[in-house]
Amino acid sequence: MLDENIAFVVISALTIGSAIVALEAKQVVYGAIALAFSFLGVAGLFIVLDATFVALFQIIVYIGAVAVLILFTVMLVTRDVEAESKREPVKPMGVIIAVVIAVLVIIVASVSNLATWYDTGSFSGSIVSGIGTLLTDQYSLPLEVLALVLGASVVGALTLAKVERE
Amino acid sequence: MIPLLDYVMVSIILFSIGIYGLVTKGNALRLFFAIEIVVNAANLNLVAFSRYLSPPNLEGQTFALFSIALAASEAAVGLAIVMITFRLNKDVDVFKLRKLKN
Repeated sequence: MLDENIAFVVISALTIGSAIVALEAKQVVYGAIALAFSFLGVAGLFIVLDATFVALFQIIVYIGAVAVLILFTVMLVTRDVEAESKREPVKPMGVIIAVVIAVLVIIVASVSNLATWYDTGSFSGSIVSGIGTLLTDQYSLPLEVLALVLGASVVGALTLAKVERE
Repeated sequence: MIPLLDYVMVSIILFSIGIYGLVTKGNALRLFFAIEIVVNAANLNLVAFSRYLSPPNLEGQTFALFSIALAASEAAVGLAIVMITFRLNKDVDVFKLRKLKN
């Protein structure tokens, strides 16, 4: 039986480390693969949070679809390895902005009453049937709109990527 | 049980990494990676807060599912834009794509 805290620490380290590697890797292809690992880490955090259905969706949609799509695009777009392999210099202004934002939000979260939130027991009933009831009952209209958005985005992507032949 | 604050901290760190990428990177694909990282941080927050409500409910997970689907459609359109940019300009560096400036 793996301890929950150990799992949380390991998965968090994997997620954050892969996210940094995704942005700082020398080649964009390696960055795309690291991004897939970061998605996998977030799915692991979902499993630690008892959200197994969302974790499953994260793996199917993000790693199965988005990461593979990104990988294809990287391989189509990146022209020569030589030009890509020189690392961009780290710009100190971006680091300063990110650290300032992180410190401000961490201060706000620390002085808030989030630390007093504690675990109030597990879910009652099945998670999948609960989500299904919510999706078809309370959020049925957003679900329909989401279907329209997905269809429109497929048409838009096809229209954009179409090669015009004279 | 892990306190809620730890999840919020992980989410803040991921968000900051994404903001760092959005501010500094010039390659359009790297900007895309940064956007996906920020979306993942938001999803983590949604699921974590809904888990720690009393009693824990499923609305946050439902919102996370909507968010994942929207991110997928955004990925399709965004990557199509990156591809057409590469086809027209032979480059995906956003700092070299300032055609309206002059």
